Amino acid sequence: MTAFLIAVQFLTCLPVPLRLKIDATMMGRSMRWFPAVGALIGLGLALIDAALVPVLSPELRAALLVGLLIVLTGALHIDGLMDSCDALLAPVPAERRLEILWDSRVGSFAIVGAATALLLKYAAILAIPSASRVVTLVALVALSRWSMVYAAVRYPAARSTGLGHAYKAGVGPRELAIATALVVIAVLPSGVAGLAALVLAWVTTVLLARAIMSKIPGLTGDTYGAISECVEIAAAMWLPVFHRIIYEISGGAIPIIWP
Amino acid sequence: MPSLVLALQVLTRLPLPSRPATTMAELGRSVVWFPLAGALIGLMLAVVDQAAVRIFAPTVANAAVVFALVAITGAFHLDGLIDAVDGLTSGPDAATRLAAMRQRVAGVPGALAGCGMVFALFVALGNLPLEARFAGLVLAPMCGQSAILLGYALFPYGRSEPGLSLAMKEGATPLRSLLGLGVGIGVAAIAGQAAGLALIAGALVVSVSLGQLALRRLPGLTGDIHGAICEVTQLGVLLAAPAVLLR
Repeated sequence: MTAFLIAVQFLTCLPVPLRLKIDATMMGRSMRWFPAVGALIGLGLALIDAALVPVLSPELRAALLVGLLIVLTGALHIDGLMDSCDALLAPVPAERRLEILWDSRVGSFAIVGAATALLLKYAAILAIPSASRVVTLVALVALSRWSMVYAAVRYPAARSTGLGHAYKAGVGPRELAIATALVVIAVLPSGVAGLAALVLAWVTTVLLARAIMSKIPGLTGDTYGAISECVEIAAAMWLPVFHRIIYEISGGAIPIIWP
Repeated sequence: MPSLVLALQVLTRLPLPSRPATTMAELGRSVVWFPLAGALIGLMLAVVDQAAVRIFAPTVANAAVVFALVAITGAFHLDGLIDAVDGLTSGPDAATRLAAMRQRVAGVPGALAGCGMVFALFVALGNLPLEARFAGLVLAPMCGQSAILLGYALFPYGRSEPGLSLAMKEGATPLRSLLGLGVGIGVAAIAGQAAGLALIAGALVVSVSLGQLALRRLPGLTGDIHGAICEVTQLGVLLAAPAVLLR
C-alpha cells in the first residue's frame, strides 16, 4: 500500500497522506504500481469527460483533457519531453547534451517539441469515438506509465544522481513483471486492439530508448518522461485505428469493448 | 546534381549519403537548389498527408502533417523563427539583437512565436480542402525555401564571422538565384498552373517586405531571419492556398 501511495505521490499532484522518509529502494519498488496509477488517471479523465458531455463541445473537452493531463501530473512528463528535445534534437556537440538536459531553461527545440506533442495529443483525444472513450483513456495513460518502468529496468542510467537514478536504483525485473501484468489488465477492456497497443507501446519505447542511447550514454528521468509522452500520443493516435481495423476484419463479430 | 543532395542535407534530417570532405563553400552553393528541395519536402508532406487522411480522423491527420514537417526538417527554420523573434524584440541596438539571436535559451516572445506557428500550421491545414491539399502542401515549403534564396540574393548579410549563413550569402550569386527561382517558378506552374504562379509571386513579395522590415532593426539579415521569413511565407501560402487554388 505504501508503495502504491508513493507512486501516486510521484505521478500526480494529488495530496497523499504519506508521513515517512522515502528511500531509493522504496521509490524503485513503487514503479510496479505505475500502470495502475496511470489507469486511475485515465479513468478520472474519462469520468470528467463524460460528465462534461452536455456542457462542452468535443473540441473543448479534448483541450481540457490535454490541460488536465499536464496539471494532474504536475507537468512532470512534458517537462521531461521538453528538456530531452533541447538536449537530444538540437545540433550541439555530443559532450554538451547531458549539460543541456540538466539545464532548467528552455530552448527552441523544447518549445517546438512541446507544441507539437500537445497538438498531436489534442487531435488524437478529440478523435477517440465516444463508445470507446473510457477504455481508451484508461489504456493509453496506463501504457504511457508502464513504458517508464520498462525503460528504467531495461536500459542503463546516464547519471549516478538525480530523480531518474533514484528510481532506477530500486527497480528490477520483479517490478517490470508486476507492472506488465497490471498494464495487460488495464488494456484488456480494449480487447485485441488494447493488446496491439501494448505491442505498439513496447516498440515505441525500445526505438526511442535506442535513439536516446545513441546520443547520451544512458537514460535519465527526463528521458523517461519523454518516452512516456511519446507512448501516450502513439497509443492515443493508434488505439482507435486498431479498434476500427479489428471491428472491420471481424465483420463486427468482435465488439469494440471486450469482454 | 550533387548540390541538391547537399541542399537536402542542410534543410532536412533525412539519412542521406554524405561525402566526407564537404566544404562550407559547397554547402553555400547548394542554396541554388533550395526551391527544388522545398518542393521535395512538400512532396513528402503530401505523401504523408495522403496516407494519414486514409488512416486517421481529419484532425489527427492534420496534426500528423505538422509533426511530419517538424520531423523532416528537424525544426530547422522554426528554430530560426524563435531565435529571430527573440532577437528582433530585444535590445536597444542592433548588436544586442544580433547577440540575442545567438542565445540557446528562448525568451517569451520566441516561445510564443514558436507555439503560435505550430498551432497556426495546424489551423491552416484544417482549412485546406481535399482537392487543394496536394498542390498546397507541395507549394508551401517550396515558396518558403524560394523566399530564402531570394532573401540571400537581395539583402545584405548581418554578421561578419564565417558560418553556414555567410557561405549561403556568398553562394547566392545573381545567376544561381535566377536559376533556382526559375526552377521554383516552374514547379509552381506545374503544381498549380496560374494559381501556383500567383502563390509564388505573392510569397516572394511578402518575403521581400518582411526582409525590409527586418532591415529596420538590423544592419543585415542573418540565417535566423531568413528561416523566420521562410516559416511565415510558408504559412501564408498554406492559408492562401484554398482561396487561390480553388478559385
